[in-house]
Order: sequence, then C-alpha cells, then structure tokens
Amino acid sequence: MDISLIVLLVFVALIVLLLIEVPVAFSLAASGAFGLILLRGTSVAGATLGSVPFQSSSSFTLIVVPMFILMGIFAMHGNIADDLFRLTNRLMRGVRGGVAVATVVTCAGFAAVCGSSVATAATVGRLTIGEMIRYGFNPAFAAAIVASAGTLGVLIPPSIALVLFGVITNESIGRLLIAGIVPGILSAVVMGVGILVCARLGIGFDRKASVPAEEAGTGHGGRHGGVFKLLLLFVIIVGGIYSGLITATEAAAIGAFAAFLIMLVSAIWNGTGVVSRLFASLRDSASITSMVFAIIVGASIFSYFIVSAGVPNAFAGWILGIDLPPRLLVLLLLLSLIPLGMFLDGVSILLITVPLYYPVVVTGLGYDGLWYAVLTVKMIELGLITPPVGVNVFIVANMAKGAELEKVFRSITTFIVLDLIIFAILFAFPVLVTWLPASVR
Amino acid sequence: MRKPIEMISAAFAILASACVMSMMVLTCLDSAMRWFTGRSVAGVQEIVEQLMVAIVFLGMAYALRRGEHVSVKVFTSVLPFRVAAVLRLVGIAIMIGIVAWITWRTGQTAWRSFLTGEVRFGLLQVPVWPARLAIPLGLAALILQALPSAADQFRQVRTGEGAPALPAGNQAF
Repeated sequence: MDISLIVLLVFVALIVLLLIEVPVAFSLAASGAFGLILLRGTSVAGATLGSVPFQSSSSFTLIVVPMFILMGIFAMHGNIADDLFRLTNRLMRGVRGGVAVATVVTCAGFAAVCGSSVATAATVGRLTIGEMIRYGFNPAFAAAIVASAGTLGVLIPPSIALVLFGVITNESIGRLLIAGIVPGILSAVVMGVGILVCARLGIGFDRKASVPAEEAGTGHGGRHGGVFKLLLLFVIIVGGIYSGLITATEAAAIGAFAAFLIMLVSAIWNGTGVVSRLFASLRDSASITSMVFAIIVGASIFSYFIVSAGVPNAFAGWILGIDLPPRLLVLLLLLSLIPLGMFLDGVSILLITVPLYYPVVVTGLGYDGLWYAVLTVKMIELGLITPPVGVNVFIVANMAKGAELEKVFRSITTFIVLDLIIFAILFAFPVLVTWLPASVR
Repeated sequence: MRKPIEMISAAFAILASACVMSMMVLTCLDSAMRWFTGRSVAGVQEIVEQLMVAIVFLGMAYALRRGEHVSVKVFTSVLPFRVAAVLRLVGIAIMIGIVAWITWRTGQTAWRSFLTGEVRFGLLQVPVWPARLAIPLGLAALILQALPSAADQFRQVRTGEGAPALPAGNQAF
C-alpha cells in the first residue's frame, strides 16, 4: 500500500477513535499500532508494543513530572494561596477592581509552586471568586478571571508542559523552566492592567456594588506565612536551577519534599489529619502521573509509526517548500494549535505537534527553541479557556454561584484578546523569552 | 464483580503511591549525599527509573476508575443517547483490544527479562524484571477496570437510560 494512503488511514482512524470517546492515550496507541501493521506487518507492530511502554517511561529525566505534580498537590494543602491572597488583597485595597488584581497575583504566585493550570485555577478560584463577587464583580467575569489567570500555572516554573517539551526535543529542561519566568510575569501584568481597565470602564464590574475602600482587604489579617513558604519553594526550584547548583530533576524532588514539610507544618498548625492528607496527595499524584504517561506511551507508539513512515521529514520538506516569509510560516504553525486546543488536551497537543513542528521551526528555520517552546505553551494556555472544552472554564464555572458556563465563556473573550496581545508581544520580541535563560550557569 | 475490581485498582494505586514517596525520598537523599560527600548513592538513579515505570502502569487502572484519562466528549455529547452509548461501547472494546495486545507483548518481554536476569547497568546492577512485570500487571488491572464501564454502556444501550454524565475531563496542565 502507498505510504501516504497509510498515513491518511491512520489519521482518520485516530480521529474516529477520539470522536467515539476512546481516551486519547489509547486512541494514539491503537491508531499507531494499526499504522505499523499496515506499514511493517503484525510482528513488527507486536514487537513495538512489547518494548515501547518500558522505553518511554523508564527515564531519569521524566521523574521531574511526578515530582512537580506531587509538589503542586502538597502546596494545595499548605495554605499558600490563602495567605498570598490575603496579603495582596490588602495591598490593593482602595484600587477599583483591586481584588481581581490580587487574584491574578495569587494565581501567578501559586503557579510558582504548582505546574498545573487546572490545579491553580481550582485552588485560587475556591478562595477568590466569592470575594470578587462581593466586591462588585459579575460572577461570570470573576470566574473568567480565575480561569484565565489560572493558565499561568502552565507557564511559570515549575511547568509540566515545559518539562515535556524538553523531553520531546532534548532542549535543556532547566533553561526551559527559566524561560517561562519573564513571559509568565508579563502575562500577569498585562492581565492585571486589562482587568483594571475593564473595572474602570465598568465591564464585568458594578461600581455601585463595590465594597467601600476602607472595608476592602480587612479581616483575617496578619498571617503572611504562606508568602514565605512560596518564596522558599520558588528559591529552591528557580534559584537551584538558575545557579546550576542542582539539576531540574533534583530541584523537583527537593521542592516536593519541601512542599511536604510545609504541608506537615500547616496540618499540625491547623490540627488537621496529616496521614490522610499525605496518602491522598501521594495517590492523586500517582494517578495524575499515570494519566499523563498513558498519553506519553500512546504518543510514543504513534510517533514510532509516524517516524517509520517518514512523516516528520516529509512534513518539514513540504512546509519549508512553501514560498512564505519564515516568520509568517512559524506564526501559521503556532496558530494551527488554536483549533487543536479546542478539542485536545495540552499533553496530547504537545506530543503530536512538537515532533512535527520543532524540526521545521528550530532545525529548519533556525529559530530559538526556548522561544518556540514558550509560544507553544502560550497557545496551549489558550486551549484551556476556549470553548467548547476549555477545562479551566469548566472547573471555575462550578465554583461561582450564578455563573453559567455560557456566560463564563462569553466573559472569557476579553481574556482571550489579552492572551493574544501577550502572544503578539512575545512573538515580536523573542529577547523577552531568551535573555534570562541565556545567563543560566 | 465491581468490588473486587475496584479493590485491585486501589491496591495497585497504593503501591504506586509508595513508589512516588520512595522516588522523592531517594532522589533527595542522593542529592544530599552528593552535596555533602561529593558522591552519589550507588544505584539510586537506576532504581528511580524502575520506580517511574511502576508508578505509570500501576496507577493506570485507578486513573481510569476516577475518570481521569482524557477523552474527547464533544461529539458523543450531541448524539442521541443510545447511539452515543453504542459508539462508546465500541470504543471501550477497541481500547480493551489494544491494551490486551500490549499486555500480552509486555508480559512476554517481562518473562524473558526474568529468565535472562536482565539488569540495568550503572553503579549498581539493578534487576529490571520487577519494573517490566509492573507493566502487564497494571495493564491487566486496567482491562478489568474497563469492564464495569463496558457493562454500564451495554445497559444504557439496552434500556436507553443513562447514568449522570461525568464532569469535564481532567488535564495535567
């Protein structure tokens, strides 16, 4: 059979399997195996299935993923977000819409100890949505703020997405993580400014309903331990990697251990059960790790077929043959991630597209790998908040009373525009991404 | 039947949790040793790699039980109820098929590894077969855990009555 026909059949099979609700991991494995049968026969396909699951999971580099997941889960139990929100909310008192800016700062701060957007949105949303509504924000808009600011979790280190990018492309994971810092802070700043402008214009914000400035940010004051905990974890991860004292792998494990101690102290302080929290955290992280790696294993089987069929080379040859300015080509490739993000999850998008796009953008056209990684992650962030399956939106819509899903999706358009502005800035000025990692030892 | 299946998933999840904890402790220990003595603890890297495999595959059934494996629900959610149930049933059958094939092949590999005494060479020779064995065991539990969902879908096809829809899928990011 002709190779291009086989490739076409495999992609059709993949899409059909995805549509009938076969989990992404097993859709990739099944369609990859199907392709290998057509291309090389049953025995080669069987041998691949016998060896790839072990090869694709037994790697020392990959332990960064479960350790970052574990650290994020411990941090969720460690009261870090509560204290940070209390502090920033007090600092922002008197500013119209300040509580929303405090929410964005809390998201950015929590993102610095947690590598997942969904976890960031869930943790911060529980604390802040009610407060924002009390201060005059419309419930759907308040939910949209958290859904959108929660996506910072995937950009600011620790970031599971950037780690996976490093695993796929062999870019240095340490540098990738450091590369996320400036774009992450820039994103938070643009979002904060955008919200203040909205509050001034009365978009999603009722001025009359707002709590008087004197009342704002009061109550439960005085406890800033969470901010120190956060700084401690951030110094371990970012300081450790940046100074070259420890590797990303070690930083992840030490960070997880520090987060464990923080959770321990916090549980003893509050008189809550330590053992049950520890067990739940370990079980959650094992389960999420399994889910992520199921996709990695499935994608490895799929990409074994893709590489055997010579697709990456053919794709690169085809794209590079198009007579368009290189920058426009890169832009188009990145924009193609938006429709994918509407239906697929971030891990799958990374594992499917990066092996195809990276050789074009970085190897072929010579663009910086870190810059491309950050832009890819930015696009994945967008996929977390775009309809029909913006997972972050689903998570927060359940938390805000009076915010139906459709209304939150409508409110989120403001933040999609802000995200596109941030994307444009990073696209136009690669130096924003590359200067900090360039000084990593 | 559901009870024993869920117990197997939970037991494997506990094993996977123990592996996560050991991974954290061992890596920190190794790091601390290198910091203070300038030398790694022999074998840690090799052991941690094997733990990684165990976590991934032993946790898989539990992740399915919690509905954590990401899937695309956009299409099936707009279809008539019974049609969607039929398609899901076909999907589960295909999933069981591919997982069964992988289970069989990785089982053979694990058996060979055990017979030949395969080791991972490093500072310490760490046997590889336990990690290799975790793969077919975890996948077999995954197949078992898929059976109750298949039964649910089958009931929905027959009666036309459904269980409440699960919340939106989970994501690692």
